[in-house]
Amino acid sequence: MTAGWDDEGVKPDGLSLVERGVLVDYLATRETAPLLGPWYGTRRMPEHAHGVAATSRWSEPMEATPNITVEPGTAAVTVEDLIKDVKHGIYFPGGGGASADFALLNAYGTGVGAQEIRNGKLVGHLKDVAIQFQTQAFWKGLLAIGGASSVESFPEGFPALFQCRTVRSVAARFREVNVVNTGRTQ
Amino acid sequence: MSPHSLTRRAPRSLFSSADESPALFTREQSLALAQKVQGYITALDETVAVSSSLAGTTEFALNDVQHGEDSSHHGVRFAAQFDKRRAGMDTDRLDDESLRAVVAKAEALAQALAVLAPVEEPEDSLRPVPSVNPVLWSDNSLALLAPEGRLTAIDTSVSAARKAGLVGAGSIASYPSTSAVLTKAGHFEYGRTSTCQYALTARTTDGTGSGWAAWEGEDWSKLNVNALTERAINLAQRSKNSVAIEPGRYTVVMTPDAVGELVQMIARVLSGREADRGLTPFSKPGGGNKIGMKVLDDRVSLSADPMDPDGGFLPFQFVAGQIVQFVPVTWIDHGVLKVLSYPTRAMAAVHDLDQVNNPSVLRMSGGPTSIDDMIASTTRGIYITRFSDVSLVSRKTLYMTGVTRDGTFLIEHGKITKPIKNLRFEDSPFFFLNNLEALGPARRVQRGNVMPPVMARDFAFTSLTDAV
Repeated sequence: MTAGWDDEGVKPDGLSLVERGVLVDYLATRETAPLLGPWYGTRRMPEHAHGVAATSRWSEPMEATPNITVEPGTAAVTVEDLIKDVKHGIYFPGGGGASADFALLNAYGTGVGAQEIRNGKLVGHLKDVAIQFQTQAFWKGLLAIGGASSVESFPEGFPALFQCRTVRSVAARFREVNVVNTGRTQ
Repeated sequence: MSPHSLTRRAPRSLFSSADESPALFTREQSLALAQKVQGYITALDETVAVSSSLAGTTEFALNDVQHGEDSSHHGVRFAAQFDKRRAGMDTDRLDDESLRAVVAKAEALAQALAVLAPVEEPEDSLRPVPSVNPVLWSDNSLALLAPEGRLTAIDTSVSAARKAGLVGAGSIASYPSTSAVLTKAGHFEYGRTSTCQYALTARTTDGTGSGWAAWEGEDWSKLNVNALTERAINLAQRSKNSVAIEPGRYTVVMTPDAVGELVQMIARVLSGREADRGLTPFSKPGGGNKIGMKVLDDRVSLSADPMDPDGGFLPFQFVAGQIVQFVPVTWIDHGVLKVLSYPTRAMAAVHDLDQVNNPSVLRMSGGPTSIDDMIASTTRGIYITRFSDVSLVSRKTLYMTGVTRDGTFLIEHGKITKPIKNLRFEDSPFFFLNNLEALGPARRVQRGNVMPPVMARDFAFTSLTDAV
């Protein structure tokens, strides 16, 4: 937790959104928790604001993405372990940009510093590479997840001046992701 | 200096009949305030900017009002300069004591600075005070400042959406503002704008259809709210139960709004220095820039004019302690790159150019073909109402990606035949404006841009999305 309370005066409690692949909660605020009442009711959960409301110069408090963590797997899997049995693939070390449609169903990510994997080894850098995926199919294509040593943190938010939250994530290996050539010139 | 800060209006008594609306600064008030600040400054040189703005916004969703806000901001920004040391401040405390204090603070800061190389041109490089576009201001727009005025429009739209069995959402806003600048030598400019925006979506209750329509302008009386609402409703009804088609290269017919989403990105790459460094689509392979070279189809011109009859913009801005002036400029004339923006006259002169600033607003030339005629001449293609979530992938080629939204249709043998699922595109204005089939009459779209409808071939769609 990085804040003692949120912009609705609620103490952040920390929450799980997804557990073992199943959606278990929402980023509820004092305004939206009652709207989620029926959903909570069927799960015998209390309506509950999680302390994730933030205000901006332009708006009253509304739900905002807090610091998010993709938890590591229990096994001590390193990035090298994820790469070593890939016959032909691409390693994205991070640092690119990502965008998605307005329903987060079709996403796009550019890779800065992407490297080609041949027979378990990084064999050179690639340029003009991006990936595109349907989010649900993407997660279904998850093959392996890294352990604690593969966790990296990076700041989120736009513009950079207002980057005030952190995403922590493990490395992971996915199959059959569309790779796009962004080097078209005409 | 911080950007504008908004000061919420103090709570108003429901029992008071007094009109407590804050007013915008007049030309005389702006000049008097700027002169007062100037009087406190002891620096060798200074520029003072005075601005005032009001904002009234209301957002609605689920056929009901969700949120409204009224705010105002009155402020002074200035830069004081001693020799080559300059510091600026930005304040909205406008009483004499506060102004004196902030001037003293800025001057102390300037004198404490290390001497930097001069970055500004001498003041005599300022152009004579240009006239301000009269279409930028209309008293008709002040009706929207009152929440009741905004609610009248929303009521019209929500009533129509309800009647059609649809769910309406949107936002309406009025942003009247004034800006003024004054230099030590007495160069004074003042202008005001009364920009209003109204955007709404209508969705079918089953979530399979969605339509959108938006308007932006300075004269609220020019908007026909009924017609705008009808457009969104019509698109929602026609776009439900869409079918999937195979992604690929298609002929497209794009509305001016859709064209604006993509073509406005060209305003980001009009820097001459960046082109010379090889960073933009205007960089010449092997070095230098493409000024004088053909970069787009013959029919395409891109320009910006403060006096544009469909909008325009104030001919000056106060940026980083200096006045930035705008003159009419044609960046691309019938497909040929004519000029890029260099920060100083000396840098522009190296390329035999007049120095011009980039106002980040574009007018794209239009043509004679109506959207109906474009559709009628399409054997197989896609009609695009608008794009969403557009992001730049490569600054070098302006290669970008995003998705279609709120009314995407298949055109077969000259007719719109069915609604189709939204598609992700990957393309660039430097590709599709070289694959041009037809242009229609240009009109004002969002963010002050003026764009035509475009028919182009081989526009690249790379995947489908279920997002509606």
